[in-house]
Amino acid sequence: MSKHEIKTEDFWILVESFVKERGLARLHLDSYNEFVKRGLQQIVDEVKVIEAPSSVKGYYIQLGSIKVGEPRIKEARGYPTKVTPSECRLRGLTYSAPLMLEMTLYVDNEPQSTATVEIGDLPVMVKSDICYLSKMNREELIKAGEDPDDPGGYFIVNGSERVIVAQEDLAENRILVDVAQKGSAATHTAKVISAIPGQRSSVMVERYKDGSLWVSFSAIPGKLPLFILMRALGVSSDQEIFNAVSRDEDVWRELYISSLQSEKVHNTEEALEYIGNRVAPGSPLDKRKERAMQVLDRNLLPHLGINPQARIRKAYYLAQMAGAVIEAYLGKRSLDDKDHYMNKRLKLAGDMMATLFRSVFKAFVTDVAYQLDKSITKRREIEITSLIRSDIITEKIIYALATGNWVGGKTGVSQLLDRTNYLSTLSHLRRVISPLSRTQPNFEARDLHPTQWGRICPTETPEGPNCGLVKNLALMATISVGGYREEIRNYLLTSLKVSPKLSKEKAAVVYLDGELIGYHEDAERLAESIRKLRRKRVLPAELGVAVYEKATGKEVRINTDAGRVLRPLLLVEKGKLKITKDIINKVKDGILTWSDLVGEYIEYLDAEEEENAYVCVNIKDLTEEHTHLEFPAATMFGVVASVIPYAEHNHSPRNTFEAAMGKQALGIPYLNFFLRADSRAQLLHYPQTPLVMTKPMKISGVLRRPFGQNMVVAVLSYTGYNIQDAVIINKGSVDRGLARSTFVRLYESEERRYPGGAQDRIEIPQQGVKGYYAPEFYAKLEEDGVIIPEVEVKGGEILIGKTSPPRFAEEFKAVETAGNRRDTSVMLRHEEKGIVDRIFLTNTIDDNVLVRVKVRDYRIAEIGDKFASRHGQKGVIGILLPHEDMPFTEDGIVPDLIINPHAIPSRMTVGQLLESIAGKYAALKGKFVDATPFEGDDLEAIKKELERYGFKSTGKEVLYNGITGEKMVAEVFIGITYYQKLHHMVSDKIHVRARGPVQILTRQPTEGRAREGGLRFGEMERDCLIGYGTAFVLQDVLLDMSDSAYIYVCKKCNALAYYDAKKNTPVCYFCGPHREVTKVKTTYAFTVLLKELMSMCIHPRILLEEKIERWS
Amino acid sequence: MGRRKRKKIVKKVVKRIPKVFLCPNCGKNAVFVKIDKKENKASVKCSSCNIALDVELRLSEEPIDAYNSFVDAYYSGKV
Repeated sequence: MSKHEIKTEDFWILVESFVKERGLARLHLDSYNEFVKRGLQQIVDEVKVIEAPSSVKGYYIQLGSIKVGEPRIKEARGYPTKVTPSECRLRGLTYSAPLMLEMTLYVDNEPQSTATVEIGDLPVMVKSDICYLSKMNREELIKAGEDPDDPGGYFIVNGSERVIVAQEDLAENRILVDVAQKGSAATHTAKVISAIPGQRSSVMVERYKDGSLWVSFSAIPGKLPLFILMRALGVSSDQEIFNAVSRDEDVWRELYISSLQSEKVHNTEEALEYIGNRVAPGSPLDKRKERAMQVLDRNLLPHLGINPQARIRKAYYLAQMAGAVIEAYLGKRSLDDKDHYMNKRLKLAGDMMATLFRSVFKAFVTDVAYQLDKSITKRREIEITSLIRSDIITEKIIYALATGNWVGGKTGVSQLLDRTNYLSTLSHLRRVISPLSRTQPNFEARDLHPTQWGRICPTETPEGPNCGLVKNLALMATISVGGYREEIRNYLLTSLKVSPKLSKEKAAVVYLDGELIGYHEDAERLAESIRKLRRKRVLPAELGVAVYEKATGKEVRINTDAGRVLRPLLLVEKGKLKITKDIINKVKDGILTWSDLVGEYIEYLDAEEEENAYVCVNIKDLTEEHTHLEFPAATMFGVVASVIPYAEHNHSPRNTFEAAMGKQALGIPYLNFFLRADSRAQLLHYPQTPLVMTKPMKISGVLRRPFGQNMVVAVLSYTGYNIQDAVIINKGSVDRGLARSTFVRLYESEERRYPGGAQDRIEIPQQGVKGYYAPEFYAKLEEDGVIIPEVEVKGGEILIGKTSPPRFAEEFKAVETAGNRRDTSVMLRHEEKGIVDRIFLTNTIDDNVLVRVKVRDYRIAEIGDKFASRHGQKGVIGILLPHEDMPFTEDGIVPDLIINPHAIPSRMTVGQLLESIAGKYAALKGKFVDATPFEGDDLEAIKKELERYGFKSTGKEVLYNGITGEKMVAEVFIGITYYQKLHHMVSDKIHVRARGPVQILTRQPTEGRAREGGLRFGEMERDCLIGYGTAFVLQDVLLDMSDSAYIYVCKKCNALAYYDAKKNTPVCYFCGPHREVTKVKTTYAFTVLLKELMSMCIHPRILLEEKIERWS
Repeated sequence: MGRRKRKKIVKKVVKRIPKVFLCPNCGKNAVFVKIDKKENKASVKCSSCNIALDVELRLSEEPIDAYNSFVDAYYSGKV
């Protein structure tokens, strides 16, 4: 073995440099940065000029450049001040920066004044280029109150962290050929979603069963015959159309029917008339034609241009679609695969912000135009600043981000960042959701597609309705950013000799982002020279080139658009890897970084270009033909699936289960927990680095924020308390601090101001205030009305005392008395307890006093708490067995946890057994074991080493019964396994009730634990009791334990009566007071029904009979 | 309490080519077209104001083209 040989460890150095340089939230940061840098200006340029809607000409505002300032807040009093993300989280502020737009006012077509105006606030993505944190080093980050390993990539809106989750979408501007839906008149279809910024429209070419071709797009009703549309676009003779569609005679034969069908429309003029008849029926002829042309220019295939010059291009594009449909019908072309990842694009934060900002900016422009109009009519001196209402933009953006309700009716676009642990945060930032309906099966869309290799984690997806629709990115997946299409277009047409005119018969067609831009003599040569230039960094690394060989000739497809999922591969030339050991060593020593390698040694490929590559998986198998080499196979997993040791030994669903559970494990979500005020948080005490780990874990930083503890685990059927996935935990271990955690909840209250000068007051409420509890509830408050730190509190006790003015204005009196104020104090949730941890006293953005109280609860593991290994093996504690009752080995080792042997065979989590053996070895050796899938440390060697330490290589040991002291009959498998404490704990769920609160309307017990509710005795339970015939139990459960009530019924008129306590007599509403009234026991809900009926002028009569028939 | 907001189902309006058209004379939606393929003719008639005309089937055999020919004829004073 020479020292120049490259081993897998060397590749991991590269992977590490990739993550180190880029972080794991790069996709969001890149996308947002691009939006700020170019996207904003583009949207402004789309508008260019704001004109007043009135008839006064010559008044308008020209829009110049838009700039984003530094993140800051505007306090209610005082100047704008710089703000850090940390402060925003603590005070419930929005981390945003001002948008400054240059505006020039023109009066009588003369520029009058120019001003740079703040038009609103743009929420700033944490760690993006405009965020302060992006320029800080670790020490400065810590000083700024941040966790230095926080990935960023989210927004802070009203104090809460929100992620814009990546949306998977069908790629735009690509022709997708498919068979038609069942039941439609068509056989095959070709669809294109044509889109330019701010506009989307789809076009479909269909081949009907009779062979005719039809085109439909959104702006026209019905469908147009292809030939007529072609003529309208300027390709009028049949010969021209035939040639445009194909060069194949078989295809031509299929065109005759369409040709015959459109024979009555001879030329462009008539074709325009035909279309005009449909888009503007009833208008004069010239108007109809004009509208037809407008529709063709603006609504048909906008990505090819929205001017009359583009018509010919559109015609050829349609012809191509038609050709594709016919070829598909003839079987000369395979159908496009919608689930192929080259046909997918991810919409990231930048794209979503762009759509949002576009619509918000339009609203802003309309408002400015209206204000301008008003100023003109008032004939006052116009000043630009007075026309601007900056809150339009600010508020709409914040609303969308805070609720997730995006423009266009999309919901759930932004989500609250999952901070359960570091894993869950990273996973949330790398999530991809598909807009496909959950309710429909969409089987193909849910399946794992071969092209997702290295892009999407094959393991991490939820179970149930979202299975396969919610995905997570693989470790090294990268998303293209785009934004340089025109430069590439020019480059191709000039330097690379792509000619817009067809010169030779055999020339290859060149497409740029789905648009035909020209022809080139040699497809391979063009692609190769583009690749070379990309490797020399003349062209961007994320640019994609693919060569297609089609029946009709060759095609070169060049992609520059945003949202393609790329993955890095190692370049191979003539059967040899380009990167050398020397280079890798330089990376290891920090002389070179990842970006230095991209181009010469490493290349990003999108799913389309990958079809042209021949990728070798293992370096040993390299041949002359190979073009690329894979990074280690374990990089195909996402961040969460990467924590599973020996994942390749597990039954794959188990890995999926762990991927879901890893996100529920308690750990350290962040290091700055003292400086945060999350509404709830959990922290694991004494978290440990797993003894058996994987290489991606080290790289992703998960190890620095661990999420479990190494436990001595025996696989043993003992006492019966670990039946059915229950686990036995050693009480001694728990007493020594195993699996302890802290739960933190935040309570807050704000001193609000109301119109008319009234105001909340944070104070100890006086006795007599409306809704006052009892003095002992307020006992722990200080004079200022707020509790103090380190006080033990129980459920129901007041943390923040507050009184508010009366709810309705009529009640307001000039002299406020204690009597008419309401008690609006904040009390601890009655099912919880804890110790007051910290109190934050601050001001909101409106300058109201804000009190936030953190209450922590110390949680010691108890029966019913949930635990899981890293192999999808979950269970709850069945018993905390005293240390002395636990079994022990000959060395005196006592397990921390005992799982049931039945958990293993059917679930086939072999990985867990291997982890256990490896963990044992790691503990003995004092060294971590690497269990990276496909390439971990040699297991045989570990087993041998174990024997050297005097243990069995099988992991089995002789165990003694801790209760009887007897030696156990069988040897028991025992080792060290990393266990996670999951956030489902009994103390959060335990719930009992004997008596308690009832609902006001029905007087039935309330529902739910938070309301101290009862447990519903439902229909099925009722059926059981009926079946048993236990009438009195039924009455007890459904009436006496619920809402039993007495009603009075008038015997004269059978109506509901009541008992007048003052006069001590029953009264009928209709017959007045009299004695002929019966008292009946019924449910209160029934009386509500009676009263409701009466309120609707329905007279319910209650006909009574004697309970027991009288003796006659 | 127990009140769930029902999501409004927004029906996608599919634009269709109408069969009854607006009359250029009386403005009512009452123009009907009768196609006679044998004669290559269409008789267009408004059932509100009773103006009518027979037009040649020129671009297609669909009512809408006949109707538009009728409108053109109306504006040039031929009805």
